[in-house]
Amino acid sequence: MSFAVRAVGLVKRFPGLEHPALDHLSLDVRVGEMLAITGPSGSGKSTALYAMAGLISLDGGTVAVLGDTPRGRAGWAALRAARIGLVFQEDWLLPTLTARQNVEMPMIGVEPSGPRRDARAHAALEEVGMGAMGDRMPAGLSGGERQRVAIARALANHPALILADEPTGELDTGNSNKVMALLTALNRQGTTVVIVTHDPQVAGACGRTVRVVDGKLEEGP
Amino acid sequence: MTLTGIAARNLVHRPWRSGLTLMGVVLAIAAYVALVGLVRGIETTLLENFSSRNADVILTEAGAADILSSVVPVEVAREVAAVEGVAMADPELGRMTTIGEGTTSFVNGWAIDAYGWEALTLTEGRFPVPDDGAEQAAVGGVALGHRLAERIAVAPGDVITIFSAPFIVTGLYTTDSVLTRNGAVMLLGDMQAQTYRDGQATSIVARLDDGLDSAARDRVIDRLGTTFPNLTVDATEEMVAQYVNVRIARILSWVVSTVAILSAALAVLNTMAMAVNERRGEIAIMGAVGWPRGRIIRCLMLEGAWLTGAGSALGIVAGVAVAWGVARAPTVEGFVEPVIGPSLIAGGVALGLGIGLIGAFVPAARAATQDPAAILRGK
Ligand SMILES: Nc1ncnc2c1ncn2[C@@H]1O[C@H](COP(=O)(O)OP(=O)(O)O)[C@@H](O)[C@H]1O
Ligand SMILES: [Mg+2]
Repeated sequence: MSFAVRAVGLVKRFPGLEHPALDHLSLDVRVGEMLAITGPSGSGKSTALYAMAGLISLDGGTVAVLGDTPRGRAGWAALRAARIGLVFQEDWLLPTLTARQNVEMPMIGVEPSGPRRDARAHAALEEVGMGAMGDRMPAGLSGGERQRVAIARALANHPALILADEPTGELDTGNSNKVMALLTALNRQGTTVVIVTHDPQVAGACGRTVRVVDGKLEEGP
Repeated sequence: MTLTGIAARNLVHRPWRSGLTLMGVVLAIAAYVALVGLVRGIETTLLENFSSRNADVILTEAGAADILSSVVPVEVAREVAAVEGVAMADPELGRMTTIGEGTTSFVNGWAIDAYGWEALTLTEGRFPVPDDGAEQAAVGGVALGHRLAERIAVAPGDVITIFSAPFIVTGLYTTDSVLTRNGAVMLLGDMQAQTYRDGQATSIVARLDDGLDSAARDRVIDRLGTTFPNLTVDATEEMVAQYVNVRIARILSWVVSTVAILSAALAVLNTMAMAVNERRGEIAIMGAVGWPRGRIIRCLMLEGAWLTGAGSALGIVAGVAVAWGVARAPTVEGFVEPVIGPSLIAGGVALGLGIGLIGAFVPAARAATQDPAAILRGK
Protein backbone atom coordinates (compact mmCIF):
# COMPACT_ATOMS: atom_id res chain seq x y z
CA MET A 1 0.00 0.00 0.00
CA SER A 2 1.41 3.41 -0.84
CA PHE A 3 0.92 6.44 1.36
CA ALA A 4 0.38 10.05 0.42
CA VAL A 5 1.27 11.11 3.97
CA ARG A 6 2.95 9.22 6.79
CA ALA A 7 3.14 11.31 9.95
CA VAL A 8 4.80 9.60 12.90
CA GLY A 9 4.94 10.90 16.49
CA LEU A 10 4.49 14.59 15.65
CA VAL A 11 5.19 16.95 18.53
CA LYS A 12 4.72 20.71 18.33
CA ARG A 13 4.94 23.12 21.22
CA PHE A 14 4.13 26.80 20.92
CA PRO A 15 5.76 29.23 23.32
CA GLY A 16 3.38 30.21 26.11
CA LEU A 17 1.17 27.18 25.57
CA GLU A 18 0.90 24.79 28.52
CA HIS A 19 0.04 21.69 26.49
CA PRO A 20 1.69 20.82 23.18
CA ALA A 21 -0.43 21.62 20.11
CA LEU A 22 0.62 18.23 18.72
CA ASP A 23 1.30 15.50 21.25
CA HIS A 24 2.85 12.48 19.51
CA LEU A 25 0.28 12.51 16.74
CA SER A 26 0.60 9.80 14.09
CA LEU A 27 -1.50 9.65 10.95
CA ASP A 28 -1.32 7.84 7.62
CA VAL A 29 -3.13 9.04 4.51
CA ARG A 30 -3.35 6.56 1.67
CA VAL A 31 -2.85 7.64 -1.94
CA GLY A 32 -6.21 8.40 -3.52
CA GLU A 33 -7.96 8.83 -0.20
CA MET A 34 -10.31 11.68 0.78
CA LEU A 35 -9.83 12.22 4.49
CA ALA A 36 -11.53 14.59 6.91
CA ILE A 37 -9.78 15.73 10.09
CA THR A 38 -12.26 16.92 12.69
CA GLY A 39 -12.09 17.80 16.36
CA PRO A 40 -12.75 20.61 18.77
CA SER A 41 -11.43 24.08 18.15
CA GLY A 42 -7.81 24.45 19.24
CA SER A 43 -7.23 20.69 19.26
CA GLY A 44 -4.35 20.91 16.76
CA LYS A 45 -6.05 20.07 13.44
CA SER A 46 -4.57 22.96 11.49
CA THR A 47 -1.18 22.49 13.08
CA ALA A 48 -1.22 18.83 11.99
CA LEU A 49 -2.19 19.80 8.45
CA TYR A 50 0.56 22.45 8.21
CA ALA A 51 3.06 19.93 9.50
CA MET A 52 2.15 17.74 6.50
CA ALA A 53 3.04 20.69 4.22
CA GLY A 54 6.27 21.57 6.01
CA LEU A 55 4.88 24.98 6.92
CA ILE A 56 5.86 24.64 10.59
CA SER A 57 8.99 23.37 12.27
CA LEU A 58 8.32 20.33 14.46
CA ASP A 59 9.70 19.62 17.90
CA GLY A 60 9.54 15.91 17.23
CA GLY A 61 8.39 13.24 14.79
CA THR A 62 8.75 12.79 11.05
CA VAL A 63 6.56 13.49 8.04
CA ALA A 64 6.89 11.74 4.71
CA VAL A 65 4.86 13.10 1.80
CA LEU A 66 4.52 10.90 -1.28
CA GLY A 67 7.60 8.98 -0.19
CA ASP A 68 9.66 12.13 0.30
CA THR A 69 10.99 13.48 3.61
CA PRO A 70 12.36 16.92 2.77
CA ARG A 71 14.86 18.58 5.07
CA GLY A 72 14.87 22.31 5.59
CA ARG A 73 12.73 25.14 4.26
CA ALA A 74 14.03 24.96 0.71
CA GLY A 75 13.30 21.24 0.36
CA TRP A 76 9.76 21.67 1.64
CA ALA A 77 9.18 24.71 -0.61
CA ALA A 78 10.23 22.69 -3.64
CA LEU A 79 7.95 19.80 -2.64
CA ARG A 80 4.98 22.14 -2.13
CA ALA A 81 5.59 23.78 -5.49
CA ALA A 82 5.72 20.44 -7.28
CA ARG A 83 3.26 18.16 -5.47
CA ILE A 84 1.14 19.82 -2.77
CA GLY A 85 -1.82 22.14 -3.27
CA LEU A 86 -2.90 24.15 -0.24
CA VAL A 87 -6.33 25.66 0.39
CA PHE A 88 -7.13 27.82 3.41
CA GLN A 89 -10.22 29.19 5.06
CA GLU A 90 -9.38 32.60 3.56
CA ASP A 91 -8.53 32.80 -0.11
CA TRP A 92 -5.32 34.87 0.30
CA LEU A 93 -5.53 36.04 -3.31
CA LEU A 94 -3.07 38.79 -4.21
CA PRO A 95 -5.33 41.82 -4.65
CA THR A 96 -3.13 43.42 -7.32
CA LEU A 97 -3.26 40.43 -9.65
CA THR A 98 -6.13 39.17 -11.80
CA ALA A 99 -7.70 35.78 -11.09
CA ARG A 100 -5.57 34.17 -13.81
CA GLN A 101 -2.37 35.81 -12.58
CA ASN A 102 -3.14 34.53 -9.08
CA VAL A 103 -3.45 31.04 -10.51
CA GLU A 104 -0.15 31.53 -12.34
CA MET A 105 1.67 32.45 -9.15
CA PRO A 106 2.72 28.91 -8.17
CA MET A 107 3.89 28.33 -11.76
CA ILE A 108 6.62 30.98 -11.49
CA GLY A 109 9.84 29.02 -11.45
CA VAL A 110 8.02 25.89 -12.65
CA GLU A 111 6.55 26.79 -16.03
CA PRO A 112 8.10 29.71 -17.94
CA SER A 113 5.66 32.48 -18.80
CA GLY A 114 4.18 32.05 -22.25
CA PRO A 115 1.24 30.47 -24.01
CA ARG A 116 1.67 27.16 -22.18
CA ARG A 117 1.47 28.78 -18.79
CA ASP A 118 -1.55 30.82 -19.93
CA ALA A 119 -3.27 27.66 -21.14
CA ARG A 120 -2.58 25.82 -17.90
CA ALA A 121 -3.87 28.71 -15.81
CA HIS A 122 -6.96 28.89 -17.95
CA ALA A 123 -7.51 25.13 -17.67
CA ALA A 124 -7.27 25.32 -13.86
CA LEU A 125 -9.84 28.12 -13.82
CA GLU A 126 -12.12 26.09 -16.11
CA GLU A 127 -11.83 23.20 -13.73
CA VAL A 128 -13.32 25.29 -10.90
CA GLY A 129 -15.93 26.83 -13.21
CA MET A 130 -14.19 30.24 -13.33
CA GLY A 131 -12.91 30.06 -16.92
CA ALA A 132 -14.79 33.20 -17.94
CA MET A 133 -13.52 35.30 -15.05
CA GLY A 134 -9.76 35.05 -15.49
CA ASP A 135 -9.31 38.76 -16.12
CA ARG A 136 -11.31 39.85 -13.07
CA MET A 137 -9.56 41.34 -10.08
CA PRO A 138 -10.23 39.57 -6.76
CA ALA A 139 -12.10 42.61 -5.44
CA GLY A 140 -14.66 42.11 -8.20
CA LEU A 141 -15.43 38.51 -7.23
CA SER A 142 -17.80 37.09 -4.61
CA GLY A 143 -16.49 35.10 -1.64
CA GLY A 144 -17.40 31.80 -3.27
CA GLU A 145 -15.78 32.77 -6.56
CA ARG A 146 -12.62 33.86 -4.79
CA GLN A 147 -12.37 30.55 -2.95
CA ARG A 148 -12.75 28.72 -6.27
CA VAL A 149 -9.91 30.79 -7.73
CA ALA A 150 -7.87 29.86 -4.65
CA ILE A 151 -8.58 26.19 -5.39
CA ALA A 152 -7.54 26.73 -9.02
CA ARG A 153 -4.30 28.20 -7.66
CA ALA A 154 -3.81 25.04 -5.58
CA LEU A 155 -4.34 22.98 -8.76
CA ALA A 156 -1.93 25.04 -10.85
CA ASN A 157 0.95 22.57 -10.77
CA HIS A 158 -1.23 19.42 -10.83
CA PRO A 159 -0.57 18.40 -7.23
CA ALA A 160 -0.87 14.79 -6.11
CA LEU A 161 -1.99 15.94 -2.67
CA ILE A 162 -4.42 18.67 -1.67
CA LEU A 163 -4.37 19.89 1.93
CA ALA A 164 -7.35 22.09 2.82
CA ASP A 165 -7.83 23.90 6.14
CA GLU A 166 -11.53 24.68 6.67
CA PRO A 167 -11.99 25.44 2.95
CA THR A 168 -15.73 26.07 3.40
CA GLY A 169 -15.41 27.89 6.72
CA GLU A 170 -16.32 31.28 5.30
CA LEU A 171 -18.84 30.16 2.68
CA ASP A 172 -22.64 29.84 2.66
CA THR A 173 -24.23 26.45 2.05
CA GLY A 174 -24.51 26.89 -1.73
CA ASN A 175 -20.87 27.84 -2.22
CA SER A 176 -19.80 25.31 0.36
CA ASN A 177 -21.48 22.57 -1.65
CA LYS A 178 -19.82 23.77 -4.85
CA VAL A 179 -16.39 23.67 -3.24
CA MET A 180 -17.00 20.19 -1.84
CA ALA A 181 -18.24 18.98 -5.24
CA LEU A 182 -15.00 20.27 -6.74
CA LEU A 183 -12.76 18.58 -4.18
CA THR A 184 -14.73 15.36 -4.53
CA ALA A 185 -14.34 15.46 -8.31
CA LEU A 186 -10.61 16.01 -7.98
CA ASN A 187 -10.37 13.09 -5.59
CA ARG A 188 -12.23 10.92 -8.07
CA GLN A 189 -9.60 11.81 -10.67
CA GLY A 190 -6.96 10.43 -8.32
CA THR A 191 -5.84 13.38 -6.21
CA THR A 192 -5.42 12.64 -2.51
CA VAL A 193 -7.43 15.17 -0.47
CA VAL A 194 -7.12 15.97 3.24
CA ILE A 195 -9.68 18.40 4.68
CA VAL A 196 -9.66 19.94 8.15
CA THR A 197 -13.25 20.80 9.08
CA HIS A 198 -15.67 21.03 11.90
CA ASP A 199 -18.67 20.85 9.57
CA PRO A 200 -20.22 17.35 9.82
CA GLN A 201 -21.67 17.70 6.33
CA VAL A 202 -18.20 18.31 4.88
CA ALA A 203 -16.78 15.43 6.87
CA GLY A 204 -19.66 13.28 5.63
CA ALA A 205 -18.61 13.89 2.03
CA CYS A 206 -15.18 12.40 2.77
CA GLY A 207 -14.31 8.72 2.60
CA ARG A 208 -12.81 8.60 6.08
CA THR A 209 -12.83 10.86 9.14
CA VAL A 210 -10.30 11.10 11.95
CA ARG A 211 -10.73 13.14 15.10
CA VAL A 212 -7.97 15.12 16.77
CA VAL A 213 -8.33 15.85 20.48
CA ASP A 214 -5.64 17.56 22.57
CA GLY A 215 -3.08 17.12 19.82
CA LYS A 216 -3.62 13.38 19.55
CA LEU A 217 -5.58 11.21 17.13
CA GLU A 218 -8.78 9.62 18.33
CA GLU A 219 -10.08 7.04 15.85
CA GLY A 220 -13.41 8.24 14.41
CA PRO A 221 -16.74 6.47 14.39
CA MET B 1 3.42 37.65 -15.35
CA THR B 2 6.87 38.02 -13.82
CA LEU B 3 8.30 39.03 -10.45
CA THR B 4 9.07 42.46 -11.87
CA GLY B 5 5.47 42.73 -13.01
CA ILE B 6 4.15 41.78 -9.58
CA ALA B 7 6.43 44.35 -7.95
CA ALA B 8 5.32 47.08 -10.37
CA ARG B 9 1.64 46.25 -9.80
CA ASN B 10 2.05 46.48 -6.06
CA LEU B 11 3.53 49.96 -6.43
CA VAL B 12 0.82 51.13 -8.82
CA HIS B 13 -1.80 49.69 -6.46
CA ARG B 14 -0.81 52.29 -3.84
CA PRO B 15 -0.18 55.33 -6.03
CA TRP B 16 -0.02 57.92 -3.26
CA ARG B 17 2.40 56.08 -1.10
CA SER B 18 4.58 55.01 -4.02
CA GLY B 19 4.43 58.50 -5.51
CA LEU B 20 5.46 60.22 -2.31
CA THR B 21 8.29 57.79 -1.70
CA LEU B 22 9.40 58.26 -5.28
CA MET B 23 9.42 62.02 -4.69
CA GLY B 24 11.68 61.48 -1.70
CA VAL B 25 14.15 59.56 -3.83
CA VAL B 26 13.91 62.10 -6.67
CA LEU B 27 14.59 64.97 -4.25
CA ALA B 28 17.56 63.23 -2.70
CA ILE B 29 19.21 62.34 -5.99
CA ALA B 30 18.37 65.74 -7.49
CA ALA B 31 19.86 67.52 -4.46
CA TYR B 32 23.00 65.44 -4.72
CA VAL B 33 23.45 65.96 -8.46
CA ALA B 34 22.63 69.67 -8.38
CA LEU B 35 24.67 70.56 -5.30
CA VAL B 36 27.75 68.54 -6.14
CA GLY B 37 27.50 69.62 -9.79
CA LEU B 38 27.32 73.28 -8.80
CA VAL B 39 30.20 73.04 -6.36
CA ARG B 40 32.33 71.30 -8.96
CA GLY B 41 31.21 74.06 -11.30
CA ILE B 42 32.36 76.75 -8.88
CA GLU B 43 35.77 75.11 -8.60
CA THR B 44 36.06 74.69 -12.34
CA THR B 45 34.94 78.24 -12.98
CA LEU B 46 37.54 79.64 -10.61
CA LEU B 47 40.22 77.38 -11.99
CA GLU B 48 39.44 78.31 -15.57
CA ASN B 49 39.61 81.98 -14.67
CA PHE B 50 43.32 81.49 -14.06
CA SER B 51 44.17 78.52 -16.23
CA SER B 52 42.57 80.01 -19.37
CA ARG B 53 45.34 82.60 -19.33
CA ASN B 54 48.08 80.22 -18.26
CA ALA B 55 48.46 81.52 -14.72
CA ASP B 56 50.33 78.61 -13.14
CA VAL B 57 51.16 80.11 -9.76
CA ILE B 58 49.34 82.71 -7.69
CA LEU B 59 51.10 84.76 -5.02
CA THR B 60 48.88 86.42 -2.44
CA GLU B 61 49.27 88.13 0.89
CA ALA B 62 50.13 85.53 3.53
CA GLY B 63 47.15 84.95 5.79
CA ALA B 64 44.58 86.71 3.62
CA ALA B 65 41.21 84.97 3.88
CA ASP B 66 40.74 84.95 0.13
CA ILE B 67 42.32 86.33 -2.98
CA LEU B 68 40.14 89.44 -3.10
CA SER B 69 41.11 90.59 0.39
CA SER B 70 44.83 90.19 -0.25
CA VAL B 71 47.13 93.18 -0.77
CA VAL B 72 50.45 92.82 -2.58
CA PRO B 73 52.72 95.69 -3.69
CA VAL B 74 52.88 95.93 -7.49
CA GLU B 75 56.71 96.02 -7.56
CA VAL B 76 56.90 92.44 -6.28
CA ALA B 77 55.89 91.26 -9.77
CA ARG B 78 59.28 92.25 -11.16
CA GLU B 79 61.10 90.33 -8.40
CA VAL B 80 58.89 87.28 -8.98
CA ALA B 81 59.65 87.34 -12.71
CA ALA B 82 63.36 87.28 -11.88
CA VAL B 83 63.13 83.94 -10.01
CA GLU B 84 64.52 80.98 -11.90
CA GLY B 85 61.77 78.95 -13.59
CA VAL B 86 59.31 81.85 -13.77
CA ALA B 87 58.65 82.99 -17.34
CA MET B 88 56.41 85.95 -16.63
CA ALA B 89 54.74 87.58 -13.63
CA ASP B 90 52.12 90.31 -13.59
CA PRO B 91 50.33 92.17 -10.84
CA GLU B 92 46.57 91.75 -10.88
CA LEU B 93 43.96 93.78 -9.03
CA GLY B 94 40.72 91.82 -8.73
CA ARG B 95 37.40 92.97 -7.41
CA MET B 96 33.78 91.88 -7.38
CA THR B 97 31.53 94.76 -8.23
CA THR B 98 28.20 95.65 -9.77
CA ILE B 99 28.11 96.57 -13.42
CA GLY B 100 24.67 97.49 -14.64
CA GLU B 101 21.65 96.49 -12.57
CA GLY B 102 21.83 93.40 -10.44
CA THR B 103 24.82 91.85 -12.15
CA THR B 104 27.77 91.23 -9.92
CA SER B 105 30.90 90.76 -11.98
CA PHE B 106 34.55 90.08 -11.56
CA VAL B 107 36.65 93.03 -12.69
CA ASN B 108 40.39 92.70 -13.25
CA GLY B 109 42.97 95.42 -13.53
CA TRP B 110 46.00 94.49 -15.65
CA ALA B 111 49.10 96.33 -16.77
CA ILE B 112 49.02 97.21 -20.46
CA ASP B 113 51.74 94.66 -21.22
CA ALA B 114 50.30 91.84 -19.03
CA TYR B 115 50.33 88.39 -20.62
CA GLY B 116 46.71 87.86 -19.60
CA TRP B 117 45.45 89.92 -22.55
CA GLU B 118 46.71 87.21 -24.92
CA ALA B 119 44.07 84.80 -23.62
CA LEU B 120 41.25 87.18 -24.52
CA THR B 121 39.98 87.15 -28.09
CA LEU B 122 38.47 90.44 -29.20
CA THR B 123 35.08 90.10 -30.86
CA GLU B 124 34.56 93.84 -31.27
CA GLY B 125 36.60 97.03 -30.76
CA ARG B 126 39.94 97.02 -28.94
CA PHE B 127 41.48 96.71 -25.52
CA PRO B 128 41.77 99.83 -23.35
CA VAL B 129 44.80 102.13 -23.57
CA PRO B 130 45.80 105.03 -21.28
CA ASP B 131 43.68 108.21 -21.53
CA ASP B 132 40.75 106.36 -23.11
CA GLY B 133 37.50 108.26 -23.19
CA ALA B 134 38.93 111.60 -22.16
CA GLU B 135 36.62 113.41 -24.60
CA GLN B 136 33.52 111.68 -23.09
CA ALA B 137 34.72 112.71 -19.64
CA ALA B 138 35.26 109.04 -18.79
CA VAL B 139 37.98 108.09 -16.33
CA GLY B 140 39.26 105.27 -18.53
CA GLY B 141 38.48 102.42 -20.89
CA VAL B 142 37.21 98.95 -20.14
CA ALA B 143 36.89 95.76 -22.18
CA LEU B 144 33.83 93.64 -21.36
CA GLY B 145 33.27 89.93 -21.67
CA HIS B 146 30.79 89.49 -24.52
CA ARG B 147 28.33 87.62 -22.26
CA LEU B 148 28.29 90.49 -19.76
CA ALA B 149 27.83 92.99 -22.58
CA GLU B 150 24.86 90.97 -23.87
CA ARG B 151 23.29 90.75 -20.44
CA ILE B 152 23.53 94.47 -19.74
CA ALA B 153 22.99 95.43 -23.41
CA VAL B 154 26.11 97.49 -23.86
CA ALA B 155 28.24 98.01 -27.00
CA PRO B 156 31.66 99.54 -27.64
CA GLY B 157 31.51 103.32 -27.42
CA ASP B 158 28.93 103.25 -24.58
CA VAL B 159 29.84 104.77 -21.26
CA ILE B 160 29.06 102.64 -18.20
CA THR B 161 29.47 103.14 -14.47
CA ILE B 162 32.00 101.01 -12.61
CA PHE B 163 33.21 101.88 -9.10
CA SER B 164 30.84 104.87 -9.31
CA ALA B 165 32.92 106.32 -12.14
CA PRO B 166 32.24 106.56 -15.90
CA PHE B 167 34.19 104.13 -18.09
CA ILE B 168 34.02 103.91 -21.86
CA VAL B 169 33.61 100.45 -23.35
CA THR B 170 36.48 100.05 -25.82
CA GLY B 171 35.80 96.48 -26.91
CA LEU B 172 34.29 93.07 -26.24
CA TYR B 173 36.14 89.80 -25.91
CA THR B 174 35.51 86.12 -25.51
CA THR B 175 37.52 83.51 -23.61
CA ASP B 176 37.34 79.97 -22.23
CA SER B 177 36.54 81.16 -18.73
CA VAL B 178 32.88 81.74 -17.80
CA LEU B 179 33.88 84.10 -15.06
CA THR B 180 35.96 86.23 -17.43
CA ARG B 181 33.30 86.11 -20.18
CA ASN B 182 30.93 87.59 -17.63
CA GLY B 183 33.51 90.04 -16.28
CA ALA B 184 35.50 93.06 -17.35
CA VAL B 185 39.16 94.04 -17.66
CA MET B 186 40.63 97.52 -17.36
CA LEU B 187 44.09 99.00 -17.01
CA LEU B 188 45.67 98.47 -13.60
CA GLY B 189 46.38 102.18 -13.15
CA ASP B 190 42.77 103.21 -13.86
CA MET B 191 41.43 100.61 -11.45
CA GLN B 192 43.89 101.55 -8.71
CA ALA B 193 42.89 105.21 -9.07
CA GLN B 194 39.14 104.44 -8.85
CA THR B 195 39.45 102.02 -5.94
CA TYR B 196 41.99 104.04 -3.91
CA ARG B 197 44.61 101.32 -4.15
CA ASP B 198 47.58 103.09 -5.70
CA GLY B 199 50.56 100.79 -6.00
CA GLN B 200 48.55 97.76 -4.86
CA ALA B 201 47.52 94.51 -6.44
CA THR B 202 45.53 91.62 -4.99
CA SER B 203 47.84 88.98 -6.41
CA ILE B 204 50.83 88.33 -8.58
CA VAL B 205 50.00 85.81 -11.29
CA ALA B 206 53.03 83.97 -12.57
CA ARG B 207 53.49 81.80 -15.60
CA LEU B 208 56.25 79.24 -15.35
CA ASP B 209 58.76 78.21 -17.99
CA ASP B 210 57.34 75.85 -20.61
CA GLY B 211 58.10 72.15 -20.39
CA LEU B 212 58.59 71.86 -16.64
CA ASP B 213 57.57 68.53 -15.17
CA SER B 214 55.58 68.52 -11.96
CA ALA B 215 58.65 68.00 -9.78
CA ALA B 216 60.34 70.95 -11.42
CA ARG B 217 57.20 73.07 -10.95
CA ASP B 218 57.12 72.13 -7.28
CA ARG B 219 60.75 73.22 -6.98
CA VAL B 220 59.95 76.61 -8.50
CA ILE B 221 57.01 77.01 -6.12
CA ASP B 222 59.28 76.14 -3.17
CA ARG B 223 61.86 78.63 -4.37
CA LEU B 224 59.18 81.34 -4.62
CA GLY B 225 58.01 80.45 -1.14
CA THR B 226 61.45 80.94 0.37
CA THR B 227 62.14 84.09 -1.63
CA PHE B 228 58.85 85.74 -0.58
CA PRO B 229 58.15 84.69 3.02
CA ASN B 230 55.37 87.31 3.33
CA LEU B 231 53.37 85.83 0.44
CA THR B 232 51.39 82.64 0.06
CA VAL B 233 52.52 80.79 -3.05
CA ASP B 234 50.05 78.32 -4.51
CA ALA B 235 49.71 76.39 -7.71
CA THR B 236 46.46 77.55 -9.32
CA GLU B 237 44.62 74.27 -8.76
CA GLU B 238 45.64 74.25 -5.14
CA MET B 239 44.59 77.79 -4.53
CA VAL B 240 41.16 77.06 -5.95
CA ALA B 241 40.81 73.90 -3.88
CA GLN B 242 41.87 75.78 -0.74
CA TYR B 243 39.65 78.74 -1.46
CA VAL B 244 37.62 79.08 1.69
CA ASN B 245 34.30 79.71 -0.07
CA VAL B 246 34.81 76.63 -2.21
CA ARG B 247 35.56 74.61 0.89
CA ILE B 248 32.44 75.85 2.63
CA ALA B 249 30.34 75.20 -0.46
CA ARG B 250 31.76 71.71 -0.76
CA ILE B 251 31.06 70.88 2.89
CA LEU B 252 27.55 72.31 2.66
CA SER B 253 26.79 70.36 -0.48
CA TRP B 254 27.90 67.14 1.17
CA VAL B 255 25.97 67.80 4.33
CA VAL B 256 22.78 68.66 2.47
CA SER B 257 23.01 65.75 0.06
CA THR B 258 23.87 63.28 2.82
CA VAL B 259 20.85 64.38 4.83
CA ALA B 260 18.64 64.16 1.74
CA ILE B 261 19.93 60.72 0.85
CA LEU B 262 19.55 59.35 4.36
CA SER B 263 15.99 60.70 4.51
CA ALA B 264 15.22 59.03 1.21
CA ALA B 265 16.66 55.74 2.46
CA LEU B 266 14.44 56.04 5.53
CA ALA B 267 11.43 56.87 3.35
CA VAL B 268 12.01 53.76 1.24
CA LEU B 269 12.64 51.72 4.38
CA ASN B 270 9.41 53.01 5.90
CA THR B 271 7.40 52.38 2.75
CA MET B 272 8.78 48.89 2.34
CA ALA B 273 8.28 48.09 6.02
CA MET B 274 4.65 49.23 5.75
CA ALA B 275 4.14 47.34 2.51
CA VAL B 276 5.62 44.19 3.99
CA ASN B 277 3.61 44.53 7.16
CA GLU B 278 0.36 45.01 5.26
CA ARG B 279 1.07 42.11 3.00
CA ARG B 280 2.00 39.48 5.55
CA GLY B 281 -0.76 37.28 4.14
CA GLU B 282 0.45 37.70 0.56
CA ILE B 283 4.01 36.94 1.57
CA ALA B 284 2.85 33.89 3.50
CA ILE B 285 0.91 32.58 0.50
CA MET B 286 4.00 32.97 -1.68
CA GLY B 287 5.75 30.66 0.74
CA ALA B 288 2.78 28.30 0.88
CA VAL B 289 2.67 27.81 -2.89
CA GLY B 290 6.32 26.83 -2.78
CA TRP B 291 8.25 29.98 -3.57
CA PRO B 292 11.76 29.71 -2.17
CA ARG B 293 12.84 32.38 0.32
CA GLY B 294 15.18 34.00 -2.18
CA ARG B 295 12.39 34.55 -4.68
CA ILE B 296 10.15 36.17 -2.07
CA ILE B 297 12.97 38.53 -1.05
CA ARG B 298 13.69 39.29 -4.68
CA CYS B 299 10.04 40.07 -5.41
CA LEU B 300 9.89 42.53 -2.52
CA MET B 301 13.25 44.06 -3.32
CA LEU B 302 12.17 44.62 -6.89
CA GLU B 303 9.61 47.07 -5.53
CA GLY B 304 12.43 48.99 -3.89
CA ALA B 305 14.39 48.71 -7.12
CA TRP B 306 11.52 50.16 -9.16
CA LEU B 307 11.14 53.04 -6.73
CA THR B 308 14.80 53.87 -6.58
CA GLY B 309 15.50 53.15 -10.26
CA ALA B 310 12.75 55.48 -11.43
CA GLY B 311 13.64 57.90 -8.62
CA SER B 312 17.30 58.04 -9.63
CA ALA B 313 16.51 58.57 -13.30
CA LEU B 314 14.04 61.37 -12.55
CA GLY B 315 16.33 62.73 -9.85
CA ILE B 316 19.28 63.02 -12.20
CA VAL B 317 17.16 64.83 -14.80
CA ALA B 318 15.73 67.12 -12.12
CA GLY B 319 19.19 67.71 -10.63
CA VAL B 320 20.64 68.73 -14.00
CA ALA B 321 17.66 71.03 -14.61
CA VAL B 322 17.92 72.64 -11.17
CA ALA B 323 21.69 73.12 -11.45
CA TRP B 324 21.36 74.85 -14.81
CA GLY B 325 18.38 76.84 -13.57
CA VAL B 326 20.44 78.11 -10.66
CA ALA B 327 23.41 78.86 -12.90
CA ARG B 328 21.15 80.88 -15.21
CA ALA B 329 19.55 82.88 -12.41
CA PRO B 330 20.48 86.55 -12.90
CA THR B 331 22.14 86.86 -9.51
CA VAL B 332 24.65 84.07 -10.10
CA GLU B 333 24.95 83.95 -13.86
CA GLY B 334 28.55 84.18 -14.85
CA PHE B 335 29.95 82.74 -11.64
CA VAL B 336 29.19 79.13 -12.09
CA GLU B 337 28.35 76.61 -14.73
CA PRO B 338 27.49 73.23 -13.26
CA VAL B 339 29.90 70.40 -14.03
CA ILE B 340 27.83 67.22 -14.27
CA GLY B 341 29.90 64.49 -15.84
CA PRO B 342 29.59 60.72 -16.09
CA SER B 343 31.20 60.24 -12.68
CA LEU B 344 28.58 62.41 -10.98
CA ILE B 345 25.74 60.63 -12.83
CA ALA B 346 27.24 57.27 -11.88
CA GLY B 347 27.42 58.50 -8.29
CA GLY B 348 23.73 59.43 -8.41
CA VAL B 349 22.77 56.01 -9.77
CA ALA B 350 24.95 54.26 -7.17
CA LEU B 351 23.37 56.26 -4.36
CA GLY B 352 19.91 55.46 -5.68
CA LEU B 353 20.73 51.76 -5.72
CA GLY B 354 22.18 52.07 -2.24
CA ILE B 355 18.96 53.69 -1.01
CA GLY B 356 16.95 50.86 -2.57
CA LEU B 357 19.16 48.13 -1.17
CA ILE B 358 19.17 49.50 2.35
CA GLY B 359 15.52 50.47 2.28
CA ALA B 360 14.14 47.30 0.74
CA PHE B 361 16.43 44.53 1.88
CA VAL B 362 15.89 44.76 5.62
CA PRO B 363 12.06 44.56 5.51
CA ALA B 364 12.12 41.97 2.72
CA ALA B 365 14.52 39.68 4.54
CA ARG B 366 12.53 39.99 7.74
CA ALA B 367 9.28 39.25 5.94
CA ALA B 368 10.66 36.13 4.31
CA THR B 369 11.69 34.65 7.65
CA GLN B 370 8.26 35.01 9.24
CA ASP B 371 6.27 31.85 9.89
CA PRO B 372 3.64 31.50 7.14
CA ALA B 373 1.50 29.07 9.11
CA ALA B 374 0.86 31.56 11.89
CA ILE B 375 -0.66 33.97 9.37
CA LEU B 376 -2.47 31.59 7.04
CA ARG B 377 -4.34 29.75 9.81
CA GLY B 378 -6.46 32.88 10.09
CA LYS B 379 -8.26 33.98 13.22
N1 LIG C 1 1.57 30.21 15.64
C1 LIG C 1 1.07 29.88 16.82
N2 LIG C 1 1.54 30.48 17.94
C2 LIG C 1 1.06 30.16 19.15
N3 LIG C 1 0.10 29.25 19.35
C3 LIG C 1 -0.43 28.64 18.28
C4 LIG C 1 0.03 28.92 16.96
N4 LIG C 1 -0.64 28.16 16.09
C5 LIG C 1 -1.50 27.41 16.84
N5 LIG C 1 -1.36 27.70 18.15
C6 LIG C 1 -2.09 27.05 19.26
O1 LIG C 1 -2.00 25.66 19.08
C7 LIG C 1 -3.21 25.05 19.40
C8 LIG C 1 -3.71 24.29 18.21
O2 LIG C 1 -4.04 25.20 17.19
P1 LIG C 1 -4.69 24.78 15.80
O3 LIG C 1 -3.91 23.68 15.23
O4 LIG C 1 -4.86 25.97 14.99
O5 LIG C 1 -6.13 24.27 16.27
P2 LIG C 1 -7.40 23.87 15.40
O6 LIG C 1 -7.05 24.06 13.99
O7 LIG C 1 -7.67 22.48 15.78
O8 LIG C 1 -8.47 24.80 15.85
C9 LIG C 1 -4.15 26.15 19.84
O9 LIG C 1 -4.12 26.24 21.26
C10 LIG C 1 -3.57 27.37 19.21
O10 LIG C 1 -3.87 28.51 19.99
MG1 LIG D 1 -7.78 25.52 12.58
